Amino acid sequence: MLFVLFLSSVVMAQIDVSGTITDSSGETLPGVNIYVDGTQAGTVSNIEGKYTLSVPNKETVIVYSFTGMETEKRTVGDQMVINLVMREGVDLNEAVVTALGISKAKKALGYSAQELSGETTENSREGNILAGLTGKVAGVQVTSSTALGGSSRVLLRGAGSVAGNNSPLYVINGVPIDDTQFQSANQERSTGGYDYGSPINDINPDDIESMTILKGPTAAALYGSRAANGAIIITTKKGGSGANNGVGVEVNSGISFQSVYVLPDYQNEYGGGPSTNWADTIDGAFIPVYNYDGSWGPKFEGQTYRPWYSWDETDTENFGQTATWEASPDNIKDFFQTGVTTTNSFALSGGDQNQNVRFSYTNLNAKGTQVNSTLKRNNIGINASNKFSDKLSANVSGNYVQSIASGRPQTGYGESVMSQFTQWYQRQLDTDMLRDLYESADGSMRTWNRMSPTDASVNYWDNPFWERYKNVQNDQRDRLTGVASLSYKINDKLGITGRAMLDTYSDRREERIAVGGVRQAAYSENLRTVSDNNFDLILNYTNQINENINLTGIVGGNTRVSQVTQNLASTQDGLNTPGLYNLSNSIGSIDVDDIYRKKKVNSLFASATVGYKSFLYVDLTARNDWSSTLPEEERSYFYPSATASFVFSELVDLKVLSFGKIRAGWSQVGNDTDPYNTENVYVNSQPFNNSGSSTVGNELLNANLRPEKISSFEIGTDLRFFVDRVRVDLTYYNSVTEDLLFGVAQSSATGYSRRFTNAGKVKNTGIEITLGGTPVKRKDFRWDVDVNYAKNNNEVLELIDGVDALTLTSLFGVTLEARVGESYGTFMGTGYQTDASGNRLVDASGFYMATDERVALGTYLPDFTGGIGNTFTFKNLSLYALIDFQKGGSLHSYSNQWGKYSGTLEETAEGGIRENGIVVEGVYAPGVIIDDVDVSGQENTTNIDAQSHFFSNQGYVINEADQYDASFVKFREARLSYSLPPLFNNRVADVEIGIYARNIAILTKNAPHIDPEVTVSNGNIQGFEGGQLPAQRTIGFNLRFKI
Amino acid sequence: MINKIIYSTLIVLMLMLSACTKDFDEINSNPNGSTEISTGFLLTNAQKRAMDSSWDEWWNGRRGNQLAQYWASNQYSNESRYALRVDITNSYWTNFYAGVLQDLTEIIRLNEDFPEENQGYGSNANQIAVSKIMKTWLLQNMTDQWGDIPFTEANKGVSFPSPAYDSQEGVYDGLIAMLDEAINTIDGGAGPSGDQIFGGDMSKWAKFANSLKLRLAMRIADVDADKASTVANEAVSAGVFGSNADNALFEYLGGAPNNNPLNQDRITRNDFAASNILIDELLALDDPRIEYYAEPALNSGTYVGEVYGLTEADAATTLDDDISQRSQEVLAADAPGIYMDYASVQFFLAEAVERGFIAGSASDYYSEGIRASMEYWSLGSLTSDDINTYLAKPEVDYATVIAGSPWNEVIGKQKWLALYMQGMESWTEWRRLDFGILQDPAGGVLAGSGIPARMLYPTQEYDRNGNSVSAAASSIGGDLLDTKLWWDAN
Repeated sequence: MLFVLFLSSVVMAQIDVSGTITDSSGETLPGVNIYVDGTQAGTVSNIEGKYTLSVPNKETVIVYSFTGMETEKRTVGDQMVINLVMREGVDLNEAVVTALGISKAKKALGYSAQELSGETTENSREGNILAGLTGKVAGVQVTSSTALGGSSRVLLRGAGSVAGNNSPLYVINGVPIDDTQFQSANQERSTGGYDYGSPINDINPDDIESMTILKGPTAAALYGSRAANGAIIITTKKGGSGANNGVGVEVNSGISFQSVYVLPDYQNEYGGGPSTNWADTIDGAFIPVYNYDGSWGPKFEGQTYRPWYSWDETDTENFGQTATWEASPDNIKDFFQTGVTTTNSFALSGGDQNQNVRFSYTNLNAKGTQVNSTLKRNNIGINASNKFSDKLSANVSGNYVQSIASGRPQTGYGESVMSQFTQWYQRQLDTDMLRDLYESADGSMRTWNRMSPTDASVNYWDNPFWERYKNVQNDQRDRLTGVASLSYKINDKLGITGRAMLDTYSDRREERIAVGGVRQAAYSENLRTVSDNNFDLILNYTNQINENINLTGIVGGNTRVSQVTQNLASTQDGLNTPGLYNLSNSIGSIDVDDIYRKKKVNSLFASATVGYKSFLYVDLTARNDWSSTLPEEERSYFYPSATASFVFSELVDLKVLSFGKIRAGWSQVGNDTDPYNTENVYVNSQPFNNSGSSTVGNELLNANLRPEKISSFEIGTDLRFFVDRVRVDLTYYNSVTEDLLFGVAQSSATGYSRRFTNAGKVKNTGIEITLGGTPVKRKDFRWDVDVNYAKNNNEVLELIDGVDALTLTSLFGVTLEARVGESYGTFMGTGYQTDASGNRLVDASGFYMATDERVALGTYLPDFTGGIGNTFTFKNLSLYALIDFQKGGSLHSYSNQWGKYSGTLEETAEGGIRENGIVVEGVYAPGVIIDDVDVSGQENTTNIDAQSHFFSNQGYVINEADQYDASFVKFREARLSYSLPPLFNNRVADVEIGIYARNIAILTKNAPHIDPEVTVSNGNIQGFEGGQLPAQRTIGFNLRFKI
Repeated sequence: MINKIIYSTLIVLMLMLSACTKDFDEINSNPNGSTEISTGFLLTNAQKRAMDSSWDEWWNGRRGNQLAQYWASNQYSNESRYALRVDITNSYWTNFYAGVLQDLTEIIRLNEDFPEENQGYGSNANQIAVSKIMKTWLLQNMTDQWGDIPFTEANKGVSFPSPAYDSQEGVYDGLIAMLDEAINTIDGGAGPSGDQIFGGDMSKWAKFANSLKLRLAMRIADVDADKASTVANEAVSAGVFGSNADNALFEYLGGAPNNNPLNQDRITRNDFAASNILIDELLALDDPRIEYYAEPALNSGTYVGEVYGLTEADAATTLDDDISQRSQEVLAADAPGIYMDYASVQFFLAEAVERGFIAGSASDYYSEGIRASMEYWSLGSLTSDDINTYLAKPEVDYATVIAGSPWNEVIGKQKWLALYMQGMESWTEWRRLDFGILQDPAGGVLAGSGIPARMLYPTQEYDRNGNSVSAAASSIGGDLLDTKLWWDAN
């Protein structure tokens, strides 16, 4: 604070320029950006179109820019008042931040780069910048989890790698940052564990000035291998003078409420038990089968029965009580509460043309939709730059984040509460009783799934509230990200910049399993430190060679050092003292996993851009990397790119076409691998009986690795008509990744189930379309539409000789694979046997028949995705609505699979099926003989009972039965905001009040009972749904203003 | 001036980069494991993993003990109707080849290529011999489960990226040869360190090797009686197991992760119960082992087996308290896993006498097999009087029973009772001896036409080693559950 005041007090003698800005019709224009050319120092015009700006001297050039208007420049000279009439037009000098933070004119780009303003994600107030991207950018697929602080999976233009990373690189203010999630394999395939969220969530959405999405590798050639899947480049806000010059204060405050809204449709006719028989009766009350985790039990007919909580003699209030055997239609809904998230941020900024600083602080406080779960996050950011002289300038920015969570919800099949609710539950259970009675007087657990009236021990399922209150996880991440750079301008043409970039965090995760539940009591501590540091030195050159040719170029070098330490320790064999969560409380020896990884990459790079007049631009890049992860002979690898942009509208004057360009780009990107893949080491397992225990491991490593290669090509056009009223952006791309480095599956009979080598070839081709329009543009009313659409085709072309598939994971017989000839992420499993005309075959007992061979059931990659955003602006009122969609993509649902098996879902009790049985649709298989008659090919007439039907005709037996289309159309986002005129004599400006909602409704979907948007991690294993946390709807209020 | 700056910047960059790649080899050497190892650590791991993978809830609980019908499923009963999960087949194939066999192969390689560096962990010859004996045990189990398997080209890494399958006959020849090499090269030096089975006692390893040799010989008795007789005689004269003290066991410890895998599984799950096939047989014979094999049903206090092979719906409606659960002995944390025991050797010897391979009394071997089994399971609680009483029963007494039944029925049934918990071996002996005890699953079979004659090859082999496995499949007469193995002739 003192520092900021100091900065604002050193403002030198200046000239104050003021004025009023209007459009051609004479209306005043508020919100025009006004700044000193070449600096960040500036202001915006107020509601009356007026502005005041302090400038250093008469030579200062002031820039005026406003969307949809032609940017104007004025030299101050002797004018104290500069009034301006802005003309509608196309901003041809619109700049976009590209790789290495280089700002380029958009028209000069030979590749697709989409820029989003910080408001785009800020406005969605998700506390998660990635979720805010959903549906807004063509070719960007974002899938988000609903777990508190959960993950988002981002894919740009599909998946190119087989077993490696397919996520884009995130760069904040030039600092490449780590997004490794460290999730367990079980967590990824939805079989339990916690979703610790993507580390990228550490970024504060309120601090974002803009995001540029560089989708193909072309755009990212200068970031090197890590950006092979594209890059998301984030620029945070910088300092600038406030509404009244001097120190500006920005305040943003919001509260939002989350409620669950996609819950499975349960049946409410039958209660718990394996059959309609009661286990017993006592004093005229029925005793149900407590230890069965399903709802095939007696019909709800108001019978008197002894509930699970009526057997504990120490609970005098409930002991011996009876209850009425009836449905609890809302028992699952009642489990959830309304989540509340408050976000408060304020920022101080100030500066002039020589120095500016911005300090920001954000506090996020969230309470989840499941009881006893909280997330707290504090961000402190500072961004300061100083121009020491005309030649020397410095910039420092840093961000410290502390994120503390407790009681994150369990995810996946198994331990998630949804897993018992949908997959293994008794429909009569009353949530209030479970909540009140989860613990008995002596501290032991009381659960509905007790063994028997006399035996209170648990069979399969803990009381869900015991799970929430006793098995509480905790985690904390402390992260520091920063950059310091020093630039020296040697002369008009040449400059040099040195930068040190730092990203380091520690992450501590504690997981607890209390004594007394179904699982063995345990405590684990996972400690990780991650650091990724980059140092670079860049020489840049700009020269207007003659009036037609402009040349810019850079030459630079970079060193990257990345280190990870992991200490994963857990108790074994239970805990000695209940309730003490300390590793020393382990009954058995402590299990420790101690891992250190380091890698270093040195790079040299160069790029040159030649502009001819203002319509032809050619951009060439070259980079050479030296990576410590590759063997000495292959350590050095080179990769180039070439792109061109041709602005043909500069040559021909078409009335309708206000801007037109075609662009084309080609690039190759080399890629290294993870550390330690060149030599096998013996790996320790747990010692046994005083002997060490070691193994050679299942993967054969390889001293003859080569770098991976990704070649891509894209061509596109950017057209704007009727003075920007209609905007069209089209891209076609084709990308082939080959010589991929991964553990290729091989016959285990070789002694190793995988061999790490160069293999495989994956092709992605696709188109992206972005359409923008302003159908209505009146004095007080404006309607903007943005539509984006992307279609990607992915095919695994080859793996390695003799190998057809690599299994990414498998569960209950369904495998997720990279399979030659199929799309990446293909599910394989048994299907229905069918006849030539597609009728399902039925055996003599009336059951469907599963194929002997496993068949491809679909891929988790969608056919196409997109979104439609509408913005209506009426005077100071603005309404934004976003609908997004996905067509295709496939998922395997364990909620459906086991929910049918256990009789909790609606269809297991529909249409009297439990009383009358069912005749499934299909024809008898060839050779089926019933009552000595060959009925092959005839329509099935065999009636089977409902329970057998749902045991044998669902996805556990015929995997295809629970494979679903993941298509959806969602009403994703809506926001109504109102901008107030400046208050208190212009002291308070930019006042905006907003009401917003996210995930408002699923308009259509094909997967029953669940939200087809399925993810619990940011990794390659996707599309398995088990115990999905219900989708959440968010409604929030937001206020922001500047002082 | 400008040029100087450009050049000096470039020079600085180049210097920085060339200086910085010097330490790359060091940076990329893995600090999380070692490139050198005590071979004893590999042996410990191989022995434990071999038993874990053979004894656990998946391979033994859902397969071995159900194929032998000792246990029945009260959840997911499709497995007991022979809908065997492909992903389990895949992962155990990998456990065996890439896990156990590769570690054993590595011990042999290290001793052959670097004898001096490794003789501190037991004499080179003894380390190699023990590894070969262990390999033989596991590979015989595998060929008895699948038929033709990769053998000659197996565990040779990149030399054979797509290992061919050897015929089962070839595998048997190879295993007998490998055992002979092991037996003949055992020397007077120290036994291997890290040995969890016999603590490095090479005389016991020799007995185990000869007992395995007897097992190999007897398995092929129906297809090559001459060879079987020769090999069996060699084994017997060299010295097979002489008492329960010779048993090859893996003694689990009390606590995780070194406890018995079935104990670990039972902490959170109870998917199996004693089957009616087992309980009914034990009850019919009033067999005292019943209390060591199973628990009385909680509700009735009597022994009631769960019907074997129920449909999922029927299994779900069977209440745990109404049926006999598995015994404490079987589920104890320190319950040992059995590689091979003295009792099974005695039954082989009884059979060898009946087949005329060796001299002696089939009745004595048979009775000694039962006695050994009872002593092992009761830990001496059953006295010789108890055992003699049982042996004297008309349904048990050899002379009495053999008068009315062929020897394969008589020996087979008692061997089946003695092989409890060694499900895979028991299923194998049932296929070979064809005695009547096992029944078709009550809910009918879901795959194949009856009790399987083998297991299907792993689907991952079709993806990764397609030509080899397809050749093997056609060579054995089809990759089907019903395809009989080479030695399963009668």
